[in-house]
Amino acid sequence: MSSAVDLPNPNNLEDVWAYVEKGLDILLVKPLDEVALSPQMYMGMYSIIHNYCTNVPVSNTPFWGSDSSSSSEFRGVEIYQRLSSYLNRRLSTLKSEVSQYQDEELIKEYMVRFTRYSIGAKYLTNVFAYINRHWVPRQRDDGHTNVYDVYTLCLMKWKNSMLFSCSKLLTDAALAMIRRDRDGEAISTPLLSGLIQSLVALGIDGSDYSVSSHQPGLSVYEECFEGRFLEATAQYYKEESQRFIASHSVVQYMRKAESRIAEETKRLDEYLAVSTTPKLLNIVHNVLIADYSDILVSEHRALLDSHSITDLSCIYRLLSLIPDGLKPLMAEFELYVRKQGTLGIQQLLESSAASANQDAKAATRPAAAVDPQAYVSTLLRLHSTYASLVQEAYGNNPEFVKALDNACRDFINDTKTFSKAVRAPDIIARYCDTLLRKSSASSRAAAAAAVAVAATSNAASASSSSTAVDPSTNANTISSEDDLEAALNDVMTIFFYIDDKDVFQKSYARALARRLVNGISISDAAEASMISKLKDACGFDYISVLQRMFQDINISSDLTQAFKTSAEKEDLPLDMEMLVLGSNFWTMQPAKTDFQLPPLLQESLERFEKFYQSKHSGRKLEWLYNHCKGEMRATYNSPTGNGTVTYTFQVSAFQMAILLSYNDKDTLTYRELESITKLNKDFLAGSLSILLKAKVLLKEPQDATIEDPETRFIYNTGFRGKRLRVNLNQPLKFEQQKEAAATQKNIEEDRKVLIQSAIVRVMKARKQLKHVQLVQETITQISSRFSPSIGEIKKCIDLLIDKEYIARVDAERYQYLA
Amino acid sequence: MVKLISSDGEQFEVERNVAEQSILIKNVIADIGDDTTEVPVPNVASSVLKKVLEWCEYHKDDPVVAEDEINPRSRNIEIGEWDTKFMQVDQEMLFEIILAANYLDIRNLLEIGCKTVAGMIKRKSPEELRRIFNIPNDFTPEEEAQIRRENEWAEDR
Repeated sequence: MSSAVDLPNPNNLEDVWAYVEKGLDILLVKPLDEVALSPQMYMGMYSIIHNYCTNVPVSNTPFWGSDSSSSSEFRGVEIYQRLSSYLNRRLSTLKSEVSQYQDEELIKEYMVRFTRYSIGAKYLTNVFAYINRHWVPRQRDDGHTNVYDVYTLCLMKWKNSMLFSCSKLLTDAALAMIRRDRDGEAISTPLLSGLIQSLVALGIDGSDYSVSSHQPGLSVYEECFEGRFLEATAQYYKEESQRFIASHSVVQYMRKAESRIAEETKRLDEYLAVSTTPKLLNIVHNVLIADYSDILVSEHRALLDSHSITDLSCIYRLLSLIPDGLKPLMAEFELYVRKQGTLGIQQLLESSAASANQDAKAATRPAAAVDPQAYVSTLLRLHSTYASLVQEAYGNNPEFVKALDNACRDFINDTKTFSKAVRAPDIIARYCDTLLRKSSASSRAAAAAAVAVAATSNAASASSSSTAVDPSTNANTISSEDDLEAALNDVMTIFFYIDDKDVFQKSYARALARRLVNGISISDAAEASMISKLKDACGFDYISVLQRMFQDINISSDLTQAFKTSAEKEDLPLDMEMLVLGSNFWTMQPAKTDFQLPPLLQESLERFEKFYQSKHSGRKLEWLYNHCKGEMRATYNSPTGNGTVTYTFQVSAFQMAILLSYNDKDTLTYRELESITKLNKDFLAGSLSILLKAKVLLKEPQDATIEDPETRFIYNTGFRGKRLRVNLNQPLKFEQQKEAAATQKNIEEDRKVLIQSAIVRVMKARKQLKHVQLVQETITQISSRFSPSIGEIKKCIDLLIDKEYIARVDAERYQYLA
Repeated sequence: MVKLISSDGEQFEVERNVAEQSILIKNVIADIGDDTTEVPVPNVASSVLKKVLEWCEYHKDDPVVAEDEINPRSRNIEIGEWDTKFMQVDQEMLFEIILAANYLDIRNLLEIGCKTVAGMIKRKSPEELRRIFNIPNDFTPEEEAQIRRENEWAEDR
C-alpha cells in the first residue's frame, strides 16, 4: 500500500465531505471485526478536516473594519452540520433495524448496536479532533450551547433518537427479565448490567461539552428505568409477601424476607446502578418489613417466651433495617425482663415462705425473710440470662443494653410489689456479709458460727430445689480466693442496679463492724477488694467510713500491743484486747442500761484509760459494754468421779458479771443479781435466759419467771457440755431489732444531710435558680446514692431557708446566701 | 519505534514517546496502530518534520502536564535556553513549525513558536514590523493619521 495520501482540494466542500464520509462508513457501519481504518485514511480524514478549516479564503476586508465575529475566520460549521445529518441518517437506519425485535432479543440487538456505535464515536472524536479543539470551543464561547464536541454529539443523537424511541420497550423487557430473575430463573445478568450502564452513560445533557470532564448524570437512567423498576419491585414484593404470610408462619416469613433482602443486595451488585441502592432497599424494607412490623413485634413477644435466640435475632436484624423499627422491640424486651424479674423474685419468696413453714426450727424467723444467697443468685441468674440474650439476639445493641439495665433496676428496686422485708440493698449487704464472714470450719467462735450458718444453709437448700437455681453458685462453698473474688464481682453487677445505695452502705457498714469487732472477717485482702470495688462504683466519699473502720481496728491492735508492754499492764491477772473506735464512723451505740463492771475488770479498764490518756489527752472513752466479750474457764468435777473437766465459756460482759458473782456464792436471787450488776430488766433477764438454756445456771423454783425478784439462780455444778468450748455470747433479740430500727432512722437522717448539702452545692454554683431546676439538679447529684422524692427535697429546701442558707426571691426562684 | 512519512515521502523512524509528543500521532497509534505502523503526515514537509522531531526528541522526557491543570488563556511558559536557540531559524521555517505544531497538536511547541513571534513584534514601530514581516504599507497617509489618533491611548511613551 502506498503511504502517500491523496487529499482532495480543501476548497471543494463536496469533495472534502465525500472523502470524510467514506471513512465514517468504515468507522460506524462496518461490522466491528472489519473496522480497519488504514493510517492513510485516518490521517487523511484528520488532515482534510484540518485543511478545510484552516484554508480561509484571503479576505480583502481589513480586520479592524469588520464587525463579524472572530469565528468567521475559522471554517467548520459545514463539517459539523454534515456530520450531524450523517449521524441522523445512520441512527434512523439503526432504529428501523431494532424495531422488529422485542423482549430480551430487543435488549440484545439494541446493545450490540450501542456498543458498536460508541466504539465508532470514540474514533470519530479523534478524527474530528481539529473541530473539537478549535471550532467547538469557539462556538460554545460565543454562546452556541447546542454545539457539542463530537463524542457528546454522537451520544446526544443516540439518546434523542434511538433510546427515546424504544426506551419503553427496553424497560419492559428489562423488567420482565428481572421478574424472571426474582422468580428464580436464570437470566443473562451481563446483558442487563450492560443495558443499565449504557443508560447511565447516556445521562448527558450537553451542558458541558468536554469529554474529559464529562460526568454522566443519572437523569436518563432514572427517567427510563429506575422509576418503573422501583414501582415493579414494590408491586412484586407486596404480592409475594401477602401470598406468603397467608400460608406460612411468621418465623418462616422472617426467613423469607431476610433471604429476599439479601438477594436484592446481590442484584444491586450484579446489574443495578449504585445510586439505586438506597432507593431499592428502602422500598424492599418498607414492603417486606415496615408493612409487617406489627406482626413481627407480636411474634417477638412470643419468641421471648420461647427464648429462641436465632429467631429473635432475625427479627432484630429485620427491624433494625427500618427507621425506628427497634423501638417497640426495646419496649417489649424491657417489659418482658421486668415481668420475668418480678416473677423470679416472687417465686423465690414463695418457696422460702414454704420452706419456713415446713421447717420447725425456722418458724421463729419472720416468714418473709429471704435467704440472701438465694436472692442474689436469683438476681444474677435473671441478669445473666437476659444479658446473654442481648448479646446473642440483639448484637449487644447499646439501646437494648440500656433497656435491660432499666428493667433490672426496676424489678430489683421494686418496693411496691414486694414487702419491705425484701429490700434489695439490705439483702445484698447481708449476702456480702455471708461471703466475707469466716465459715464454720475456720471459725474461732466455732459453736456460734455453726449455729448461724446452719440456719442459712437450710433456707438455701430449700430454695434451690424449688427455683432451680444453679446449685454450684448457690452452694455455700466459697472455696478459694478466686471464687470469692468472682462472687464479689457478681455482687457488684447487681449493686450497679440498686437505687438506694446509701441503704446498702449502712447495712454493709453494720455488718462490717460486726465482722471487725468480732474478728470474724475472712481476710483483710477480701475486705479491701470489696471496698475498692465500691470505691470504683461510687467514689471515695461512699467508702470513707468503711475505710476509717479498718484504720480504727489496726490502730487498736497497735494500741493493745503497746499497752501490754507498758508499765500499766503489770500485774494484771487477765489478758485483754481493746478496740478504740471513732464514734463518728461506727454505728454502734452504748447499751441503754446501767452496768456495774466486776472489780477485776474495772481495774483493767481504769489502767487502760490511764494509759490511753497519757497518749491522747482530752479524748473521752466511752465503753460499749454490750459489745464486750470474754472467755471464762470453769472447772467441774468429772462426772465419772476422778479428776476434773475444764470448760471455756465465751460470754458477753454482762454474762461475765453475772457468772463472776458465783465465785462467792452458789445461789443468787434476781434481786441480788440486779443490785450487783445494776443491769436493767431487759439485759439481765436476756443474759440469764441464755445461761439457763445452756444449763450453766439453774432456776428455782423451776416454773418461776426470770424477772421475779425472788427467783433463785443456782450455779449448776453438774454442768456438762458437748464441747470444751461453749459459746454463750448470743445476741439479745430485742437489741437486734433495735439496731435495725436505728439503722433505718440513721438512713433517713443521712439522706436529709445529703439532700441539703447537694442543694447548697447547686445553689452555691448557680447563685439563683428556679425551683424546678433546683429540684432537677439536686436529683441528678444524689441519684448515685438513692432516688430522693420531691417531697423530701422540698422539706430540705424549707429547712435551708430556715437556716438562712438560701432565700426566696419570688414565687418560684431561690437565691444563695453566702 | 514509529515510522512517520513526510508529505514529500521521506521516512523518519523515532521512538514512540518522541512521536507521541504529538497528540495526533498518539491518538492514531492508540486507535489503529501499533509500534510498527507507518503514519503518513501529509501536511508536513520533511525539512519541517525533521525540525519538529528534533524538538520532540529533546523534550521527550518532559513531565506531562495534566489536561485539567492547564488554563489555556493565562498560561505562561518560560522559553528555555535550548528552545530560544531552537527557534533561531529563518522566518519561513518559524511559521512552518508553528503550523505543523498546530496540525500535529503539540501544545508546548505551538506556544513556544507563538511566543517567539510575539517577542519579535514587541516594542517595534509599524515601520520596523513592515520591514521584518515584509508587509507593504497599503494605507494612505490620511488613513494612517486617523488610526494613530484613534489609538493614541495605546502609544507607549
